[in-house]
Amino acid sequence: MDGLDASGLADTDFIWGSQGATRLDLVPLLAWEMLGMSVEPVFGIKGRGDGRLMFERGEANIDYQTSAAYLKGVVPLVEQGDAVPMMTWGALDGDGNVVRDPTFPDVPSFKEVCEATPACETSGEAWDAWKAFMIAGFPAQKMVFLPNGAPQEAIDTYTVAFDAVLAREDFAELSEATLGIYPQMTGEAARKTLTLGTVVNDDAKAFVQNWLKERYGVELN
Amino acid sequence: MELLSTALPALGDAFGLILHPQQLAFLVLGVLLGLSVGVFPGLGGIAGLSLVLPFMFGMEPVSGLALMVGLIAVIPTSDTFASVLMGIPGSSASQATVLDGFPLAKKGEAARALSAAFVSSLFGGLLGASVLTFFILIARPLVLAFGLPEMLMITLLGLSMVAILAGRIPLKGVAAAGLGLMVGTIGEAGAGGSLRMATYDIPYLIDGLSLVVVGLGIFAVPEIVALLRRDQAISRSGALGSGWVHGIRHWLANIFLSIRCSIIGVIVGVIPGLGGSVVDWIAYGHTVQSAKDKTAFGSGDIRGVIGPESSNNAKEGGGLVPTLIFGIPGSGSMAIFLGGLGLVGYDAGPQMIRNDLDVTYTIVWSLALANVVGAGLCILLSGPIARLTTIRFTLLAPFLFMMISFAAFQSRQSLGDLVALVCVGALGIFLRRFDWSRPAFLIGFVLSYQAENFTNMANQVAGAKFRKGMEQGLDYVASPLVLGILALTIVSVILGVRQSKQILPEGDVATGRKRAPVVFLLLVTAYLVVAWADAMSIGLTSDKVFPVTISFVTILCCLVLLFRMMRAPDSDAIFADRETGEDGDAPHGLWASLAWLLFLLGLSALVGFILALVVFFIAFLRVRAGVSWTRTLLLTAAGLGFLCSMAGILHRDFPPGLLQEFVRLPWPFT
Repeated sequence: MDGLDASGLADTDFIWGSQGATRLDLVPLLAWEMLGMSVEPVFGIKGRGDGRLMFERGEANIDYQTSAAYLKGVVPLVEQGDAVPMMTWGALDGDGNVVRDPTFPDVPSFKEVCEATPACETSGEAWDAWKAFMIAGFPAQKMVFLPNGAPQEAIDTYTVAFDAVLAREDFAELSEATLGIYPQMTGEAARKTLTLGTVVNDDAKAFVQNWLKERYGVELN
Repeated sequence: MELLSTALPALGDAFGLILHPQQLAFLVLGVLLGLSVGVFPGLGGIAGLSLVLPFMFGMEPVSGLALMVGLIAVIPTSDTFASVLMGIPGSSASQATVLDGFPLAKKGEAARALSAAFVSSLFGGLLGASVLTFFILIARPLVLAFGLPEMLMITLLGLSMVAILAGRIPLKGVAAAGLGLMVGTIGEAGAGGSLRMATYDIPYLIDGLSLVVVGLGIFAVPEIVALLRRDQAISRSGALGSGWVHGIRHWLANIFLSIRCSIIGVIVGVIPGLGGSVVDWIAYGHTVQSAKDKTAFGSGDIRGVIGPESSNNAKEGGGLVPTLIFGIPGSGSMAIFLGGLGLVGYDAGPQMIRNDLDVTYTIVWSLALANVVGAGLCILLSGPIARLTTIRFTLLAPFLFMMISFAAFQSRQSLGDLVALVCVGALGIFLRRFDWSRPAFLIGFVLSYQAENFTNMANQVAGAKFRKGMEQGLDYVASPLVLGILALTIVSVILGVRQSKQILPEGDVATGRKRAPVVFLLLVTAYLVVAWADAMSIGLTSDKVFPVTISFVTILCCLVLLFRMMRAPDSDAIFADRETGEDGDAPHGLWASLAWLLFLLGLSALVGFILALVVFFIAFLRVRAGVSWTRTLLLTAAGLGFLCSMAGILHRDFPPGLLQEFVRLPWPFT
């Protein structure tokens, strides 16, 4: 890579352990393709842990991990020189813009890399589709749901309990080690993220459906 | 030597940490919980750990670890009770134990079989713990040496055990394994997500059949139905046989077998991605191959218990290696264990072993101590519990129907689990009746997912390596490990084919009429043809190749069998049919006995599991068993009370029926 420009990676053949094109792995697959990289996914692994093992065994030469797993499992590899961080998917600011991930302030986000790479555009249907699925996949990934028809009383009890956890003095410290530095939310804020993560506009949806079919032969109906 | 100087002081420190009354109390608590959960078929580490997880946060780390490890460590010990006494595989790790353990119980030697099993478990567990001690410091490169080609080869080694367990007609064994592989492909394909023999209209099938349901259906349902028809006690002599001292003596006489099988267990456990469910089959296959006199296997050879039981406890120690050094869980219960570890403030990974070796080693000590305490308790209990085999079976049957339904329901928490149990159970009944090797079927089923996905993935990675250069490609697919395991596999197949005729994994079976065996073969062939056509219609090559190939080969096997059937006289072993022998002479019919399970299922679909159980118990005990009203009510209350208190403590729900759609009922009727 030349600075933030990923064009130099276009000639490398990458292999990547993936759970499937229609899973969370859609986000990285699309991102790498937008950058003009040739990444061959090896489908059929059961979880990101298996992907990391494939990377460590030298069977794969590119991978991505969630923040928690990266902090625990990949940072030692980076320290030993066995892995190099390329980019994060970024985080969302209050207005829904993609910004640098607060947990990894030194690592550029995909948006920055995309802007610096001539082949990649941060507008248009590919970008919109990528962003929609990134939000669904990452910032809104781990939510707590109660069964349909749960009484308001129970919902309130959970909300109060989670707020109490978030208000703990040592919460920042505890969560940094296991989750990374991300805002946790309840109530209205959580509902807003839920909408961002579950509502994908029709153009983005059509683009992804078409791309999955053309590129990976997967038909969704 | 550096290894020793790192390990020994930390091991000593860890011993100091664990040797406090409080930690020991938590360890014993964990062991007791593990034993009580593990005795219940279908419930295992996941259910037990979920029970203690809420208390983990803020707990003193060593106590928390002792509690969790104590619980996990004894599950493969206690699940032996169900495998040996009832023929119900208590968990996926003790399926192979059923093969010889249950015939021993039928011969009236349950106490001996159990104690031999527990000593083997103890030994395996201790060996696993000691391997963990040193291995954890050096295992990283070793674990990383097992890439996709190596894992594929181990999968094939597992499949090669079919050769020795195929039964009298090897081709039938191969067809059974092929059918198992095909049943294993039902649902969403691992690579591209195409559906095989499933539709989105039946969501249950999308995830495929679970191993618990298939294990129960193939082994437990046919045995329960067969015993119920005979209406005697499990132990035909009504006796219990010689006690636990004998079992220990048997184990001593086979100590080298136990060592070898424990090592197999550790190795298979250490490799992430294989899963623990093959380990008992590889150990059992090895036990049979390495024995001089093979005639008694399948009809109650004590070595058939010692082998798998040594391996499945050793696997737990082995399985902790990748869990701790990579932070990657090898199974569902390990995933929860990692969660619990996080709650007491430790994150598994290289830094934990580097910085907190003493705490890590308390896990080793807990594992070892838990095995000692657990096996000791089980041996003490084995005498009294083995008495169950002397009770008239008809009185046990409703409890067993209750337990296997509840166990099956744990896999997906849906009524579909019960439907699947009955369907697979019917298949199991026919496989048993016509002497198609059930172990071969199960090995095929267990390894189906791995066989398909490792083949696809290794093929793809190898393709990329070969594109880079011939040498790189060869280095990848023909590593010394691959070649070594390949050699083992070939030896295993050759030995298996040469010796399989001496081994009857399920005893001798009479032959008689031709029609029934031919009809069953035609039905199997018809299913395979449909599955083949279904696979052909899939667009994605990655999801299609495996089922198409396997079904094609299996159909060929079936056609050859059919051809042989046309020419053979009806006394030929190919026409094995238990209905013409022992089973046919039983006082009760096959369908009448199976109908009771269907009755329970149908009623559950209508009014929910618990209400259905009440009716089922009373009807069964009054009509089939013919006991007095007082005893009927007492037994019904005992069964339901036991189930409800167990489920209540573990926060388990029961299958709801149509009634629950309309009326809101309090737990346990929900």
